[in-house]
Amino acid sequence: MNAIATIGLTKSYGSQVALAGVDLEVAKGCVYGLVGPNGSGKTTLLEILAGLRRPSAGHLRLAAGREALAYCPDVAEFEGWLSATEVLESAAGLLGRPKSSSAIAEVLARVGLTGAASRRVGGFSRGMTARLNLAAALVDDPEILLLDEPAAALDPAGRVEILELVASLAGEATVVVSSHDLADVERVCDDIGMLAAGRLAYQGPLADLLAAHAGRTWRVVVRTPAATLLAALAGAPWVEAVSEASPGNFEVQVGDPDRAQLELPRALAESGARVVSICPMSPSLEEVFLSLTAAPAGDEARERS
Amino acid sequence: MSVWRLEVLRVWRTRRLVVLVGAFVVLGLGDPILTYYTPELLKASAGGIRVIAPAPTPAAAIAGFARSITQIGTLLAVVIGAASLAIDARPALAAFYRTRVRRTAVLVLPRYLTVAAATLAALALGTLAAGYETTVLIGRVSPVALAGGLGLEALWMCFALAVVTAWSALVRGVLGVVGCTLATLLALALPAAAGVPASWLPTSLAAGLGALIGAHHSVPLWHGVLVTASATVLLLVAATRRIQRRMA
Repeated sequence: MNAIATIGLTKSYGSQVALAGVDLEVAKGCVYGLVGPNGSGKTTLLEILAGLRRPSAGHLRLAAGREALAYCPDVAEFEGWLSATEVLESAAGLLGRPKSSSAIAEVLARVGLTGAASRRVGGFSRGMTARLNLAAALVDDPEILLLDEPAAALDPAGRVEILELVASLAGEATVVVSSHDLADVERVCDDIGMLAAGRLAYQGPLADLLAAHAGRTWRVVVRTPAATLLAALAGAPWVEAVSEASPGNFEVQVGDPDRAQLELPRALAESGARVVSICPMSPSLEEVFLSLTAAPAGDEARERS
Repeated sequence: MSVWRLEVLRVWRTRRLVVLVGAFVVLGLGDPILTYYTPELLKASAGGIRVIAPAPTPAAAIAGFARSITQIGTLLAVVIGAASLAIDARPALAAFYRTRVRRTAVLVLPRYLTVAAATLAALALGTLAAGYETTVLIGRVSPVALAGGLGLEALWMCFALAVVTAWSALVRGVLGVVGCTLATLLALALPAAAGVPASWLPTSLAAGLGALIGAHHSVPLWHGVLVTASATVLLLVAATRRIQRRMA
């Protein structure tokens, strides 16, 4: 069951199209990563989901009411004259669901702000404000949590801490996280949506995406000399690129992984190379992201059935 | 924390209440003193020229205070009102509030009423200070006229803050709201120039305190009261609806 579904969601600012027919499907209870280059429409999409922007066209379906949805903008801002505790009290109070002092203290502890509970937030660092941003969302006990770059302002240790917290929310809430840092997304997300120029270039389980792109790069190590092999691979029609990282150590990129499994051993045998090892290289999300976002997005859209 | 407590904390912790009360009380104490010493000041600066200045009167002292609060007091109330009422001036903060309330009237009306209450409290204290200082220095001021004038000035301030709210629904930045509000308040003089009876305009209330104390109002002020009260309510209703609908 989907917690969030959009159908043909479109947002235009005059002639500029920010979102072009986005069909988002976020399963209930999952941690969904929204990735894409700058200007791809991630923040616009999150703001539409949060009810802060009106779509130009398309439909949006949420499994929960607006009061059960919390949104954390990428750059958070709070009333500087309130303490951290008071920010959470007001966050809960505005929703008409006041929280006890112990519940608020628990949320502050969860984001590592216990020591700053009674401090005015006007003096908070960017990292502390980012933690408070997450706390202000968590105190509302949301069913759907939208996080725009939640770890962007944090130091490496704080980043790990917050990402672990986000990952721990799986099952407790449906979380949509946008991030530029693909390693963060790889660490915490079950499903991802890849936005490019306002379109979904890919949507589905992260594992499926990586599996689909596995086997496109092979590392081949042979004993030198290997000039015959290099020439054979460079001339093969199923090879997209071949490079020799060090003498006898080749990285071979192929277009069709299935064909490579058949052709690569044959090419090695025909070249008379003395093979040390052949293994497919696992692609990183970053490599997959670059390969998907470099091409025109529309025709490659693939959705989870 | 309720939205009302939040707004009370806003006017208190940002020192907006202190600034308002301080300014109005200083005006209330200062204007009668200025009126009282004006003849002597004129004589001292005349440089040998014989100056005949009218003796200070309670009406002149209160009229001076009324002018000050109409100008400086209104400006201050508009600036402080805009700082509270421009809900969308800071987008991230606006997101915090907007995603937590179903109807933006829940945000707008407490802000309006809290700022209005703070302004009226400051106005009342300033008027009391002006009445006391005038009585001590110059002569007795009619408490009934003073209270009536205070009511008119209070309605003017409520109207000015309703104009601020209306502009907050159309303009995002605080400075923009202040500028548009002041331009609107100044433009209220235009209908009078076009032949609309001045007593029907909200501006008639701004001069109401001085007029009541001096007992020189020739037309009933209730026309202005009626128009101003109605315009205040209409502006607030229109503004809250507009803010509710406003999205990018």
